[in-house]
Amino acid sequence: MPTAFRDILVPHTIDGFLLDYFGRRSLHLRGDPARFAGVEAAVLARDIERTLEARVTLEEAPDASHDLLLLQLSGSAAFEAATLVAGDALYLPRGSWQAPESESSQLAFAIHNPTGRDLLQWLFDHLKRHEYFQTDVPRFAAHGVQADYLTEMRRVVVRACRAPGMIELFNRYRNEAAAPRPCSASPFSGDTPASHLIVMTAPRRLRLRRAAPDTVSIKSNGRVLRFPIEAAQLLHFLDDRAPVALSEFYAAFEPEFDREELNDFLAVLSGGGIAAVVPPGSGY
Amino acid sequence: MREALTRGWLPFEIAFDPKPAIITDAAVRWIELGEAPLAEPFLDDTFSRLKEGTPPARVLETGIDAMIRLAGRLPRVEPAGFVFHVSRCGSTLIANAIKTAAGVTVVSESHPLTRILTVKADACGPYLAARWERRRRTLVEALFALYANYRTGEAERLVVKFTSVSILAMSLVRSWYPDVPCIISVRDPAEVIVAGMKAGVWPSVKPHPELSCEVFGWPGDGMSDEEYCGRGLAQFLQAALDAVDERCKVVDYEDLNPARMREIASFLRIELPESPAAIEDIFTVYSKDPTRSRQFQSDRPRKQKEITPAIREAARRCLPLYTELRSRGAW
Repeated sequence: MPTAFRDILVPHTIDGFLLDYFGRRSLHLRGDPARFAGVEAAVLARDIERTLEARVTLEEAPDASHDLLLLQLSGSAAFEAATLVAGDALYLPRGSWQAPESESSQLAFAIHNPTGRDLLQWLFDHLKRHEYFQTDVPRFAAHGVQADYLTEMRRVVVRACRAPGMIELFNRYRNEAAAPRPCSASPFSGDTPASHLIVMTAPRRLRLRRAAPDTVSIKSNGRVLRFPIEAAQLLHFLDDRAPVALSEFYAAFEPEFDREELNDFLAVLSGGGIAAVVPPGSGY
Repeated sequence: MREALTRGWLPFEIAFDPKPAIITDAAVRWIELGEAPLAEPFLDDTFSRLKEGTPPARVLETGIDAMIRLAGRLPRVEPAGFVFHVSRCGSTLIANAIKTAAGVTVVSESHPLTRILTVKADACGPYLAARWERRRRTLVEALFALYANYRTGEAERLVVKFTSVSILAMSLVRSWYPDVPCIISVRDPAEVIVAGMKAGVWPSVKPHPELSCEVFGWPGDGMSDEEYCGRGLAQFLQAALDAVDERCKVVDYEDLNPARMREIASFLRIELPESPAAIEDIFTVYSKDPTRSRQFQSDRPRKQKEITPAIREAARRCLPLYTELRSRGAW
């Protein structure tokens, strides 16, 4: 008899597992208990006693994706259609959404692995901002001027394509442009009970950058937030530990920051779609 | 088993932020070596040769988390041996000799490793300090795994010769790898100071108090070059003394010869070629010359002549440490 996923996919505290293997945080369940969806949805099927099927659809070669990892602790690896058995773990990448509402024991989801078209589109958008492409096309100029114009254009494009870090930049762009998790939490205020949990709503791990000698910035959902460098430890703490109780956050940093500063910081994160503060047991 | 994604590639540069405990993100630049061994005296010499080749080796850039993730798919590597040294004391010669062994990768003076081991995060707050300690161990393990596996996809035996300044982190490295045998290469302190001053290595750090503080913990402004070098060398020797144990052997420059080289290899459980010529050849060329075309000439008499009273005074503070270290790690 088929077993519904919602009956067997019990959320596990698998921080250690995910951190060890993927450098990722653990599963967060949210919303209606009949649904589960995660910023980093992960299903640990270690306790499954019967065989389940997971149909995985990929648009491109699955090996190209670092995010899709089907850990078959037993059996051989297969990605296009795989069967989960006891002892397997299925990792769904951050930003994947799954909401099984039916009684089916089949889990189906699709992952969009970017193709060369996506890369080209990004490169095109990226190059459009280049100073060179802001100038007029010399439509009525002499042949030599037009030839020089094309030569320079070719040089700019080739230089961009030759940059060894182009794919990395593209990945970074995709991560930073990814939409945040939908979250129904109210904006954070200083009178929130300390038992509430801070959860991350940013769809990717935070990537701190140096914005100026004493400033760091993070970019999420296409927006840039800047903080004094002292706040870096708060950002890393939340990125590593969330979901974490407000009380724990306060206890870790109150000797160095006063409560008002910490609350201001959380209000900025909450307003920027980076984190939210929710009541315990609310399913996030 | 799937082939390692990094087979044939190594990171040649990691663009760390000046405070990598705070800004952990860093660009990693990789270069394709294929199965080419790290044959040159220094890692950077090999990378330069490949970059300047015709055609130049392919390069790629990733984030540092990608490097950690890719290295995490490789088995953890326990190196066959470490070589720490106080600079200008024959450590490159030791590394060159070990490179003659089959199935051994010798990484000689990896600058990313130096950076990881040098940076401290004490001033970044307790959370980031503890986080950096965990992270830098992860980074070191990642680099070791990549170095050991890049040639064939199977881990070769790995010997790591650190840069001289990394000896200040020897206790830390020993705490991570307590069972790995270590060679500590030393030399008469006065000769080390003469050579260091001539090469301009330590005097180049001295004008930058912030860098000096990061490396040694003190700014050094107001000191003479001789005093600066003497204090730095004393700190190197003290760090080695703090870390030396029964898994360490101290090798003095004056004792380096083909027979001692074989003892060193044997201590690291590495088999050198049986032919005496293979090791004797190593002694005939200048160890730091990547082209191996410059004949070796002993510079000891010249260095002894160049020892000024100020150098002798600076070396005096090092002598007790040098003597004790030699006795603690004697063969």
